[in-house]
Amino acid sequence: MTARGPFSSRAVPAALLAAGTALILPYARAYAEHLGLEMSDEELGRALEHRLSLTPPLGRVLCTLGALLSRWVFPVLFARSLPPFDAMTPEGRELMLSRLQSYPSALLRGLFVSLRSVLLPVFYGGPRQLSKIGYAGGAGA
Amino acid sequence: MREFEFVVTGSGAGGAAVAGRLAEEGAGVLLLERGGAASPQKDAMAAVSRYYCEGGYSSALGNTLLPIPTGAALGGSTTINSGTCLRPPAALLSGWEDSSQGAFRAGAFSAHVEEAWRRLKVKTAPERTLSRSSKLILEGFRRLGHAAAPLDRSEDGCLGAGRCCFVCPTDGKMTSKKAFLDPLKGKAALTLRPRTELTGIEPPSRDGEPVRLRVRSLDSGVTGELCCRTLVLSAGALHTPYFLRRWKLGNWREAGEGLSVHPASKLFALFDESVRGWEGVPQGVGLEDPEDGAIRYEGVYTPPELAAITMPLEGLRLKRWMDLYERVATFGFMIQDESRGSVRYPFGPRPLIRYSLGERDLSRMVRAARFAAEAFFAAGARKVVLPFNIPGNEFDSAQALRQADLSAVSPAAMQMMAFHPLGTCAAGRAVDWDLRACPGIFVCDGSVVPQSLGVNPQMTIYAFALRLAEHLLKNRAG
Repeated sequence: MTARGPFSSRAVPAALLAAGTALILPYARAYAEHLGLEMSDEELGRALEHRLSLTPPLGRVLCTLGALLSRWVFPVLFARSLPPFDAMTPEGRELMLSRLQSYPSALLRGLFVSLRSVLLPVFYGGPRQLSKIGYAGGAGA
Repeated sequence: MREFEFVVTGSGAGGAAVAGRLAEEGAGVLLLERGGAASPQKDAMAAVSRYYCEGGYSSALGNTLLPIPTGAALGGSTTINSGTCLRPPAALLSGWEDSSQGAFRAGAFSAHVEEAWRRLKVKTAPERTLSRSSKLILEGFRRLGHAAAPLDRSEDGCLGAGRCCFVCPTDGKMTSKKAFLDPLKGKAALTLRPRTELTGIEPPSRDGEPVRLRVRSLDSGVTGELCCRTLVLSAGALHTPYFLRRWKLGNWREAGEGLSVHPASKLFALFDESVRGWEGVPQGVGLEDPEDGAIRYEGVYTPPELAAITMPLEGLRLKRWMDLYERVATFGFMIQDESRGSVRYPFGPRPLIRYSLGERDLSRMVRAARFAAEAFFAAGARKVVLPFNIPGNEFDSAQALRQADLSAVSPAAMQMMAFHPLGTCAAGRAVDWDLRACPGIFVCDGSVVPQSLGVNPQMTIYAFALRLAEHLLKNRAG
């Protein structure tokens, strides 16, 4: 038996999920564009909402916070560029992402990891990307 | 009030083995498990969300961020582990015999290890189930003059589906549930209550009195009271200390201290050939470091839908690797840590885990990464990514790797996880060597293991459970 945490990820209110998705979507859209991924807004929003629904509440909060900071604060801190992330040059975005990934702070990494845990499966765990590498998925695929 | 002879909380390696063994001898056992039955998921992340504690977000904070995934389903962490089986080192067992002044017997314990080995149907991973990723690293080590070998695993009909950590889709893994609970289905002695948590303990004031418990169904919210002659706490090293501390059981001040975790990490290697590492046993091969017995190398493979999260890369660099993931092999290592952490519960049962990686452990992690990378290059890798979140963590050759200055690697830069939390209710400290916390209450899970093992711990935990069951049955007969 495991002790119960005060948060449960079951039965997330739809409005809460939608709100989280809406806050993360602009950053996710810009990031996907930076990677050259072909994802419509609808597809991206749906995938994001699905990933958020699989994330515990604390993770959702951290992810949302991470996305907002990545969009509005980290461009200045890590790339000396004016925010938002959406308006940065490709070089500026890559510099910011690279410096974020290698910044030696466990606390910042926690925030960034929460964001990565949601966004990266959206970018690299969808059917199009998986079929590109010849992966049919797990059980029931 | 319903009374049971034994109540066991937690169905992992400790709890299921104790409960099963007691019920086999006709003792009346109630087994409570907070999780439910696990079923295979198409998406690995869905499996993590449903069957890992905190949806996979359980992490230690300190001078590093250290995710520590544990299971939250019937079978506990054995449902989501890699199935690797290793015997506890004989030197450790002898040390425990000495420090316990004979209360712990190494020879008798080893017999329990062998019994667990038989029950879990442990066998060496056959060649046909090894992934191409495993075969490449085997060849790499061979070329360097080191004998890596297939690992022993708890399996019964493994087909190499490669989803050990995300609920085996072919039911080929021997979990604690399969080994100790399933054979008792329909038997009156064992009452199994999944999705039920323990919410209160009223310990007896002296031996012979019952332990009173409060429980709650997670599905209906209905609470109830019951009592038992003996309670066995088996919620895992991150959660069992809560009960001792919350209800001040025995040496409760020691509970939560002494956390060891086996910090682990992995490398990614790009080859010119197709690897398709998701086909085959992810943790199929391993070896001990030839110079440092505190380092173990073992296979690991993360399915593509989750792999990007574990790579120490971002942006376009990460995309280049993920686009070529079909040609990527991975291999990992873990260390017998000297660092120690702790678990506290300031917000109720949810653990606050503290752990900081010490200098010696850090230098072992760096050495292990270099060694494994050399093996990948020896096997013909084009590129290797080391598990350090620093600029310049990708290498094109063994020579570049040897010349690399890795002094910038700090604990905060390590990309790592830990899968073996141990020691937080250690035998000889929080509980005695019979695993007794106080009259009528025992502990049996990874928390009782008194030191970092340096090997995958499930066999050791099973052995502690069988030893405890033997002790309880003996007292029952007496």
